[in-house]
Amino acid sequence: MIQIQNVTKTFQSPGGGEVQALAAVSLWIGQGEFLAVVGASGSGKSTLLFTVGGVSAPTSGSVRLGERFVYDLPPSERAALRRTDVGFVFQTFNLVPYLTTLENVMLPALLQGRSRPDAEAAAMGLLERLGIATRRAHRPSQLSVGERQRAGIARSLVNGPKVLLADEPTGNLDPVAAAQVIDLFRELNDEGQTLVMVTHDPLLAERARRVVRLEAGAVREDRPGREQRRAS
Amino acid sequence: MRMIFFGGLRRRWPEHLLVALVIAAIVTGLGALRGASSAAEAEVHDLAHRLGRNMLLLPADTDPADFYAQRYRGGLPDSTPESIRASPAGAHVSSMEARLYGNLDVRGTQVIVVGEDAGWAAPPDGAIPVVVGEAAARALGLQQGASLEVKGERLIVTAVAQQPPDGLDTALFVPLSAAQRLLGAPGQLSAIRLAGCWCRVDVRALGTRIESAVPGSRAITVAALLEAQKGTVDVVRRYGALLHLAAVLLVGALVAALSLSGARRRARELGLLVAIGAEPATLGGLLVLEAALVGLAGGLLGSLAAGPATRWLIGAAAGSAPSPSVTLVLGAAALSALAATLPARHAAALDPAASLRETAT
Repeated sequence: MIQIQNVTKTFQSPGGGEVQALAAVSLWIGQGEFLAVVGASGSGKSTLLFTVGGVSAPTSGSVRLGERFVYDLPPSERAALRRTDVGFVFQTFNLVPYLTTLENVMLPALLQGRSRPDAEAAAMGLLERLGIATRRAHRPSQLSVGERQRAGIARSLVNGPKVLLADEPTGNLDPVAAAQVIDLFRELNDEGQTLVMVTHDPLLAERARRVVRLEAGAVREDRPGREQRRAS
Repeated sequence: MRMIFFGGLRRRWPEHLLVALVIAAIVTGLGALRGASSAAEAEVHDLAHRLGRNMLLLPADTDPADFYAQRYRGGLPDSTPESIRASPAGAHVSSMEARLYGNLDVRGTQVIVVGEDAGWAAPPDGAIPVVVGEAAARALGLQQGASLEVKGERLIVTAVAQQPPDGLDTALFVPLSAAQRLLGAPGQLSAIRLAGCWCRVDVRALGTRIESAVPGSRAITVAALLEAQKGTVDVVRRYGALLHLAAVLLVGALVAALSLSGARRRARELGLLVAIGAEPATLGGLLVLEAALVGLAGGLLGSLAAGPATRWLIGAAAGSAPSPSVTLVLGAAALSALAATLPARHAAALDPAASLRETAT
């Protein structure tokens, strides 16, 4: 479903030199997988996630999502692909502060061109499923961090994406809320949702079905998650 | 996108309001300047239209300042009109009003006597007809039909003028010959007003020719005055262009700074919008639209305030000033949009991943 082929990504460092964030990464992520990407700070985890999501073009190599090579698409089609095929969940939630919870969740649907009633119905369904429907009229600053992350997850799901990309989704949460998020991811994955989660927490990573460890921008390990191994 | 657009506007309303108010102040200033300048120009044109056809002929030794301060003296012979008509310059003159002005004590009150040939109807009994200015009538206790004795002559008040010629409401207007008798200046004139269709002649040159036809006379024309006033208007216009340029630079810099700071502060939000599928070019367009709206609001506010500001600057003359130009309002909006273009392009070109990653790994 997702094919990452020889992807390298190089940044210009503020000092003038070059920093290689990804070094010839190749990965195949199948439909319905739950993949955890782990690694130390600066190992290229988030860069890989944004590259897969069509947000940050690789310096070389290719990313294929379904039948389409993401970075061969013109900008408008790539934007459309991000709307329909990709959902992002962030560590710091990135909710728009002046919109209500409901409006934040509706936003990708409205960008997709869906009618307001349709977008509202889809958003409300997700808010109910995630247990924050009563907080729909609240602004992000009025929500707890756990509620904010659930709102962020609802937003990422509203257009029914093919893949959910989560960047340290539990990084700002207490252990209970973090466990709830991972339970939710597992539940979504059980329903067939493809998930790629970046985390630096090895225990959480082990709840994924597959764990990839990056080191200095390269894949050093690619193995099943512990729970997956136990189950098999 | 509407949600994002209006939400962004609402969230940063103090900055937007401040910039809109500064733009409004600039537009008000420019509008008032334009209004004042246009009113001055209109006044000059009006003056040229009204006075450009007239010429005042005074004795050569009369200072115009004395004349207008009502310090009169005789000097021109009353044969002057014939001399002018007989000269080549006379062909351009369509009408002449010969006048004799003088100061006289009547019943202990100083009044101005104005003698003019204005088709007077002769009252019965050989009395002298007199039109009395309102102030003079009040001072002398006169009304229509009243009579008074001045230097042995009997005068009958044929009218009390509320708006007498040249605003001389302390004057007694009498036939020229009667004025010459009353003022003891037989055969003399103080001034002659000449009028004609002089659109196609050089009025100053014509004045010189009339001065030659009537030795000892001095032609006062408005042409020189108008030239000086036009010069003043031109200077104001030149400085106005500089002020416009400064205003354009100021508004441009202000809006560009606003857009740049807005784009920087909203980098995370813009990055998010790109990540969830918004096109960077559309987001850039939103920033430009936002700036244009602020400019439009400032322009509209400024144009509303320009009228009162013009009245405050030039008072009653503002009545002839044109209403603030639509160009200023639309110009403020267009300039704001233009100034926001570069910051918006810069914002659209930012790497969304960089602004979204707080813990980049």
